[in-house]
Amino acid sequence: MKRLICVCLALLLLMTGCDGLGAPAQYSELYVDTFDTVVQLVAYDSDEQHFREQAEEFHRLLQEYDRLYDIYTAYDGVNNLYEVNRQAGVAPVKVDDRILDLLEFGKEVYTLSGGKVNIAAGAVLSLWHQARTAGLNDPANAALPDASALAEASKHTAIEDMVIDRQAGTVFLRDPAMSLDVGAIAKGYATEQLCLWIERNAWSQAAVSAGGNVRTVGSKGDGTPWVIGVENPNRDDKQAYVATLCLTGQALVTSGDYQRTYTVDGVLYHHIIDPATCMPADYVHSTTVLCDDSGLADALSTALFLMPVADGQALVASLEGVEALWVTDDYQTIMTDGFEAAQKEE
Amino acid sequence: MNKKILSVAVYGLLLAVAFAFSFMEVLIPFNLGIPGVKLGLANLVVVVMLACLPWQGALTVSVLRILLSGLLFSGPSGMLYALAGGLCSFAVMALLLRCRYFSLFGVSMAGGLAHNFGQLAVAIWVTQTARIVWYLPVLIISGVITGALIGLAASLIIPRLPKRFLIN
Amino acid sequence: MDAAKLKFKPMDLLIPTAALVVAVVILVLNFTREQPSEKWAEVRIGGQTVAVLPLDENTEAVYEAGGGHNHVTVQDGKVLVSAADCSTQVCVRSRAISRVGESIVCAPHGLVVTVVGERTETVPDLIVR
Repeated sequence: MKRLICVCLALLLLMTGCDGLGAPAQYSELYVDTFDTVVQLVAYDSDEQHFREQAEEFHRLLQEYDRLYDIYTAYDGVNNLYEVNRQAGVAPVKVDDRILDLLEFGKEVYTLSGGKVNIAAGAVLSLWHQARTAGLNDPANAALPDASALAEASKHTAIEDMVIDRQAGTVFLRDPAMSLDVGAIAKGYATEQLCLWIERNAWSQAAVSAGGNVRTVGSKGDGTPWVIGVENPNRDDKQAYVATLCLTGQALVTSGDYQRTYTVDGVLYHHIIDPATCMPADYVHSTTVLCDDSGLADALSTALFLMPVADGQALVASLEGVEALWVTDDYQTIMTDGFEAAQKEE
Repeated sequence: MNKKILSVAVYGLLLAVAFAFSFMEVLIPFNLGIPGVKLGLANLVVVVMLACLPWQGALTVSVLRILLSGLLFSGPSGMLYALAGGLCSFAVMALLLRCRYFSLFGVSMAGGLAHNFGQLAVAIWVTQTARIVWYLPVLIISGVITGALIGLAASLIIPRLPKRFLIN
Repeated sequence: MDAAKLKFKPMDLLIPTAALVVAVVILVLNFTREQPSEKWAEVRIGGQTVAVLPLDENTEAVYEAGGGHNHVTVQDGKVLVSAADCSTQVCVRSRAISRVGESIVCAPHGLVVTVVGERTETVPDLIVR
């Protein structure tokens, strides 16, 4: 009898050493193979094995979205946006529902932003992309895209020429000279879908940062909100962050003139092009949008960047659940009331 | 005329000796794992000079030695710290020597302390972190000990120097 | 050189004694302070806090400072500078620290690692850019 008790006690002791019954710990992973940027996943999980498995699934889904929305590369067996662009003016392309969802979102965003954020502006944006890539590879001969080429390209950016047939599951670009560029919305939209997946299947407390596009799920492990810093566009300023916010389950996205730039004759040109001028917009130095949906935040931060502050304030006021921050061209910060309220107290 | 040549020769020699001491310290890193603790052998030359020669000459040799060592060994940031420490300790020692209540030992220990305080002050200013002031106890103890040792060495050297050396 | 100057005088002890008293006081203050249960290693470069690392989580991090790099490691409740490309290497040769108030300084790079008992500055979990 004594022996039996001893054995039981020993087994009990052994079991207390088991992991998995512990309190949630913070795990994180970095992925560098998607969306041409670094994607960081942070999650609270009580079991490391579970985290690794779910993170692998997350990565797989992330890669799927990356391939679907890629406009520069073809992938075997996948009709992605590169293929859609290739078939412009030729034939409808049957694509994954996720592409159709993104494109329809793009149409909504076009209307919402008064035409400023236009996923059908690929003709213009690709000229800039080529000029920038050439300028980065050979800085001595960096040049702006040809003005007449830009003018001609801007005639082929009508979003109405993008025809979506949900019944057939296809998208067709009527104008052979047009192309889609979803850079302004794809990352945010994909992040939103991934986070919805996380909420449903993986974790209740997590955060995803896709190259600086942040979407949180729930709070941190100890119940406190995620503390997110907004990068200061003024590189000379000692302050690293222009604002620090507390987020629980919301998204925060910034568009700035300091990202993806190249230099021509000593002047810096960034990548957010104003459709009205076909040149990089210079209304403000950066815009930041806070709301529940990461896709909307991404789209709106671009939209606000492409209009004067006053117009942007009007747009934000007309929308529910959206807050914003502008860093003006003389480095002043303007925040909506809700944005200010979300700041971390010092 | 003779005196001038003698001056140049003597100061040149002293600079070389101080510099050689610096070099020795580079070769034999004296390390307790705590920054700022070193033997400060070159200061021996400074103390002897202050005791036997006009202060202007002593100051010149001291500064020149720091600049040379900085250029060859520790680099610009090392030079900054050495200058701060060196000038502080020089000022303190030059002043205290005038006071008849202090012997070479007291002067040297005070000099060691002042040297370390100078370096700590520069470190706080450069890194903008006041917290490193917690280092003070270590620097005080090492400053006093090295100062005492240097003072002892100086007191043994000076009586044995040739009279010609004292160009006072 | 006045021969009397070479002989030890009682007044000599004035300054060193005063300084040693100050040193002892500071040491006592430091070591009798209660160590808080949660400690962090605060990494500052040029006066700006760039990271606050909890001492109870083993971490390895690299920081760019003053034109070079410093590798900071947190292990077993202590923090140390495990590698650096500075000229003097004083930071690397310093002992690992764990008491509140202790610090490791890389003077050429302007980097200071200090052990603190409360998080005085907010460092974000993530940054939007």
